[in-house]
Amino acid sequence: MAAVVSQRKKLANRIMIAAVLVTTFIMLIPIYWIATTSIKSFSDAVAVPPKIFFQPEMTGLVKVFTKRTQLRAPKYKITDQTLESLEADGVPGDVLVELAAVGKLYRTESQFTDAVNEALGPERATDYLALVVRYATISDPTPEKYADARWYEKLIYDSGEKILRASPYPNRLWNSVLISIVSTVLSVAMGTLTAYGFSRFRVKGEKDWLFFILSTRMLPPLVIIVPLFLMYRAVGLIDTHLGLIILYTAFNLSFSVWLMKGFIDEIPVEYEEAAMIDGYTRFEAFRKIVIPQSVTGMAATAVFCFITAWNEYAFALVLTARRAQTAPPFIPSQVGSGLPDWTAIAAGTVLFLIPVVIFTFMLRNHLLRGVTFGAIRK
Amino acid sequence: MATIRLSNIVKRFGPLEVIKQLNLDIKDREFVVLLGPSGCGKTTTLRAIAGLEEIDSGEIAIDGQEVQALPARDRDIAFVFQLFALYPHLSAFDNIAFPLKAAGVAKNEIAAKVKEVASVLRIGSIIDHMPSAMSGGDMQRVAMARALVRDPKAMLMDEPMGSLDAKLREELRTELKHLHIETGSTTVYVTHDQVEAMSMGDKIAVMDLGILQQIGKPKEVYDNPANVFVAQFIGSPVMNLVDCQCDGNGDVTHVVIGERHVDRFEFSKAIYEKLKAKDFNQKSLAVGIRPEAVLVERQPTNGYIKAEVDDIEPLGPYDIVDLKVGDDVMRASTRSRYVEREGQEVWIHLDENRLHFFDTVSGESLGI
Repeated sequence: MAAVVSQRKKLANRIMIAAVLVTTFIMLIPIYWIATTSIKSFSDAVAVPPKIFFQPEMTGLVKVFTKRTQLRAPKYKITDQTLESLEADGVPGDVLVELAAVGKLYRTESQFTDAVNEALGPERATDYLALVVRYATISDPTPEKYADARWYEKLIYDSGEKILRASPYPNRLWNSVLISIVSTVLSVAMGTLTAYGFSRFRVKGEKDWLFFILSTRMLPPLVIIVPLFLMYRAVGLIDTHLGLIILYTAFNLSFSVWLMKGFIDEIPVEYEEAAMIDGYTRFEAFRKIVIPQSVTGMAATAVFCFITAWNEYAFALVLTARRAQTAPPFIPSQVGSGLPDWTAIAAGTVLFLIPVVIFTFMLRNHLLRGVTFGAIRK
Repeated sequence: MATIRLSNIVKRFGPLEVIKQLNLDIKDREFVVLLGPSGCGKTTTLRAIAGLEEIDSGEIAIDGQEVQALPARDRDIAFVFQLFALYPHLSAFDNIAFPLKAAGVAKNEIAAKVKEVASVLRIGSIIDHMPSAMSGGDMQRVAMARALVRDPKAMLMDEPMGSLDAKLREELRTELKHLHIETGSTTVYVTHDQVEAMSMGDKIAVMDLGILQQIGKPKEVYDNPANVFVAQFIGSPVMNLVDCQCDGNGDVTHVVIGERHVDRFEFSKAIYEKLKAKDFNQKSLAVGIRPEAVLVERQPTNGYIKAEVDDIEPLGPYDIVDLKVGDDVMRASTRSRYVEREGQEVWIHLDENRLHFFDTVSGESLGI
């Protein structure tokens, strides 16, 4: 009988593991998709059916850090240089003289060949046309410029564009880091204090207050964004770091209060009472006993607040433009002219993921304990 | 060390009065046990002394100084919690040093003091352990050490052994008693365990429903319970309490129990005289007798009445026997295996010197 049970248990165990693996796999697909797209060439990125195997390249990554413009189409003009080159290749003098008369700049190859045909007559034209076109082409960039270009400039030339200047993406990432960290610190600190108050003191109408705090989270951002925009404009908080920090702190505070209350409720009040009898004030007891005891909860709360602030899109899109713009609204703004450049968007997204991965990874021990710990309420 | 005086303490939780006009005097170096069932207000009283609960009215004086308005940290008392409340992120050493740090004692002095108190409580070997790595007994000793280390005016203990197993409690009971004799600290000890109360207390204060029922030396409380509650709360098994009628025909006292009026114990006339002097009420009279004062014979004996054995609990050194007398059941403690089987007929009598009489309406002892 026991053997049967353990067999069954084993099987159940294996099914669980399989389920976990499948779930992990499914959840990793989008990450994989973004990561691979960021190192694909544009044509590979938009290929149908999608390409599994491809030549990786850095173009997307370079694009996200640069402002670019399309290369111009080649133009055609017979210059002195053209004539010299033709002469060196053994083109007779009379032909050169007649070609020199074709002095205009042509914007398309057909217009240029028509002109050459007319100048030389059909017979001679067929003999020399290919050579003339070759030496008369003014390409963008010029071969010399291309040869002098750095590796990343070449990558961009190869994809049909040229770099105008550096993009503000590093600055946008920095804005994201700054705003997310400051608002996380503020909401965890204020949330912990508020939760401590609710947990340890008899607050009149405690349940109503807590519900009120939670209710600030119940409207979707888009509903309040217009009045918020008007208010921010009136007080001059549009496109400021402070504006987003205040907003994210307020937004995360309800979450922080509720989560921290769960954690602090779990800490026996006797610890503080013991400390207060041992000669400490309540605030000292809070600092020396409650804070060390709730580090796990604070870490878990911080991760959630950080991720929320880091990923926030709608407010950042509407309330910032340049100076304080965060990465989320910036990344899709790569969809400038022409086709959306998925490689650049994917590269920006991958870079955007890294800080939050590092942050979560650093706090992973607290997080796992924290999530299960806070979930159990008395 | 100091005296503690509570005068007219009242504490309410909302509409509920958990301490009603409590008066309690604790002398210097005295070990007082607050004993009572859960919810009787004993822990609240202790917390009020410590400053963890504010009282609604009354006065608390420690060493003659009124402290009811002072926060806990300014009362200079130590508190040992039921679950020890050792700070889980600090080692035993840091736990013990914690109150000294609050007082701003120098580092080397802290080390010396911690070492000293650790040796008294024999926890030198675990001084670097974290609470999670300690046994219940060690945690209790560390908690005691933390309380003792700064030489408080008084030690307050809230069921400090409540979460330990029986054997360890027995061990620590003795240890604590010795510790108290050594340090001579004024101690208030809350428990619901009468064995702890009887064995450790210089005095026992029995509480129920927020009222101090009786205070006295353990022997006094046991031998002369002030009322039905104290009589039945202290002693294991509890005191027998049987409705009775009493008359003093001729030169004897008859105590009749049960509805049938046939089971009648005979005592000397003095009993009746004493009862009469107390102006007793025949209709609400009950006789109380401790199980060890119920005399049991296997043979019919003069002056004894017949009873039937209902149940036998063998406890080793002695047996507890439930005896049916008419409709009433009385418990007696007898020598081991003196009564052989259930259903057996035995003859019982009550020890005249250990009779108690109560008024069942007021619950008060008639003080015989």
